[in-house]
Amino acid sequence: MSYISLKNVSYQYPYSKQFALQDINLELKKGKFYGVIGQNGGGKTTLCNTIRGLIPHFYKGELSGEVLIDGTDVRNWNTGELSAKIGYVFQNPFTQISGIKETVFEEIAMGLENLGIEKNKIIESVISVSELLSISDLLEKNPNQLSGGQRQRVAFAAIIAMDAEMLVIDEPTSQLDPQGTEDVFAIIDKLKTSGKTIILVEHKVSLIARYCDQVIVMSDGKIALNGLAKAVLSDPRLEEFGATPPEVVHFGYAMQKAKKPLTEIPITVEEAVSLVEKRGKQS
Amino acid sequence: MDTLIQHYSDLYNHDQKSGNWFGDFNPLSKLNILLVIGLCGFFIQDWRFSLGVCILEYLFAALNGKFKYFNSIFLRLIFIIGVFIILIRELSYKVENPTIMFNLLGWKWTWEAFYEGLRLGTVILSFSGAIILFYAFTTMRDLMYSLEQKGVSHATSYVMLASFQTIIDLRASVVTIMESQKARGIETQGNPLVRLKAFFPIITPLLLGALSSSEEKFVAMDARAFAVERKHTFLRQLRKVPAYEKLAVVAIDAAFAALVLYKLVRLFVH
Amino acid sequence: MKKGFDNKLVLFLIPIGVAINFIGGQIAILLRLPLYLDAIGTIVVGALCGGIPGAIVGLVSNVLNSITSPITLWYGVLNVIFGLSAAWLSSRKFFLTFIKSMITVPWFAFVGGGIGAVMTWCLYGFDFGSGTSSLIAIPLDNIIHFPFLSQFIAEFGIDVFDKVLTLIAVYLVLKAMPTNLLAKLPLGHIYIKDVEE
Repeated sequence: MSYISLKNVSYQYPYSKQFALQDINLELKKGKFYGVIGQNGGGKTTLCNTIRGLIPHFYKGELSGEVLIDGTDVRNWNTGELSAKIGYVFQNPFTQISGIKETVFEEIAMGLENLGIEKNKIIESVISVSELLSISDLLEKNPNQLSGGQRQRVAFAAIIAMDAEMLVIDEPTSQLDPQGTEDVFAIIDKLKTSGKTIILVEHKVSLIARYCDQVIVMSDGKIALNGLAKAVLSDPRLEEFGATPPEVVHFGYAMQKAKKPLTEIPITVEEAVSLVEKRGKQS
Repeated sequence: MDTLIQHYSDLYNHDQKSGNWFGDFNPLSKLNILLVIGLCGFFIQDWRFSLGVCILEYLFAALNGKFKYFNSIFLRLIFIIGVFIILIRELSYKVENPTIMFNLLGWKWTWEAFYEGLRLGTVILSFSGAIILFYAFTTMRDLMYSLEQKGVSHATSYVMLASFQTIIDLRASVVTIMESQKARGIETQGNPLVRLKAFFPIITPLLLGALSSSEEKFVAMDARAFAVERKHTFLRQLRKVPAYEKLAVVAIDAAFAALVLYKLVRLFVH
Repeated sequence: MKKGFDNKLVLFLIPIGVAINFIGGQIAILLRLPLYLDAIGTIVVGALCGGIPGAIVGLVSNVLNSITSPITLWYGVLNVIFGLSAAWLSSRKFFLTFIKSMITVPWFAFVGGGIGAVMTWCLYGFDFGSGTSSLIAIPLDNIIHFPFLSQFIAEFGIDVFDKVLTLIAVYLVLKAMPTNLLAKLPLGHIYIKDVEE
């Protein structure tokens, strides 16, 4: 059974005639890592808000169709319990810091305090998650005085510490340098290995290609493409839908055009290298 | 990692210490005691009593290492409330056959007006001093925590604590917005009308930006299980109120009740 | 406090309202304007979210103000009235046009200055207070020989200027509020102009 299931889902924000989501049919399986790409305004964040249950509980508007979260209709979920079940990290690191805690340690612990987790368990979780995100040296700092990148890590740590079954992550690396971004992807991958279901909105397609099991392309509020990362990212129509394929995909097509086709279109650099080597051996 | 765990279990499994005997009182006890002290002056209405309270407040702050904090606020109040009230009374307070203190270029100062000002000034100052002492020895965080323990919702704590941080954040934005509006040619200096007009292009974007950010704040706090209806854990822990502290509060409240009762009876019997 | 807020966003607007009350005064100082401008947050939140949230903004602002000037605690009641009346006026569409917004100025100045004068009168033993208003009130009293009325007129007069600026700011902000945010606030529907395409 799917963990998240959307059937014929359409949604309009209040006072808007446009559909932010239109006829969405989507099944998300437990323990998989889904990447969402597509142009801005294509409905990526709205999709996240729907899966997280903020639509229809917080964003009113018109929701039609059926949204099932772990088998229960989203309308029947208690919003508080839903927040414990599905973690949510988004782009802006400044609004994600609570502003009511004086140390990073207490900031990360806040969600666990709200969940009523036992004190010593909280201490262990906060420390292990801060080591995972390499922010142990920030624990005593005031979270309201950190840089954007540091805040992004703290906000991410605070959500991971809550140990939800599923994570919805909307552009978590906007404030991070390339190394920081790589780290975050590696951490998300690790979370997937520990059984979490993950849905990630991200512009950095080369990393999506490397880590995600499946990729969903959103365009004009509709799902334009949905399938295995390999199939979606090498789809020639990708750019039509406003998404950029990884660089190596261009390389793959260029090879085809030059009448030196690889056996398949690569989506990661590693793959391209091995395909080229294979081709070299064959000829 | 183990040393970190050790460090934080030591920190959070023990009572929070402020390093001062009065600071370690429960915030609500402190509030109770100091409010009573501050309000006494309104009932007694005698400058000797209120002035005494002011001096004791000063001494208490000094003896407990809060002189600098207390003095920085109280000294200002002595001028803008104390001295000012006496000046005003010398202008407005009229009695028949006044006793002249001195004559300042035709402005006759009277003892009657002086004592009238002194009485009122010290009453208000002794009340103010008590409130200043309360904040000197209590963090808002501990105050809200003790209220939560009494059953006040954590939404209330959020409002109080977030207000502080929002003020700090918006203060920083004011400077940014003011600079950028100056760069766009809005005059912020010159005659009063020009400065008056500059107020709107600063306050409007600031307010709109802040109001819009509330939406993301909601989503962020919701993600941190703000709306979960479960019993919360409190990482920090406050000292269990000891018997002598309870006793002190009860004694002070009883004395205050007696004072109020006495004044009420006097009001009718007189 | 939580129970009253079935609308979830309101809680998060309250600290912003409080901060705006403080910042208004700060901008006034930066621009060297001799005004307080410390009720904008209370009135905006009252107008958008209703009387109780508005009153809470006022009350919290006063509690925080009392840290550095304890005597303001007594004037908290004024801010509560600001919040409550902002909601009442808002639901009767007073803040929709500039003219109507200006019509509310005397009311807010009456509360801030007039009822403020009553507070001052009680607090200062039925005599003049210690603010700048008494510097106008006392000379006035020498002419009309009615101390309370003098204090009342002085405080009201000063407050009219303050509230004109305050209500212009309130009007401008309410007019410029984005629809998606208004849609989530209890009284927001009043300010939604038309459905976007």
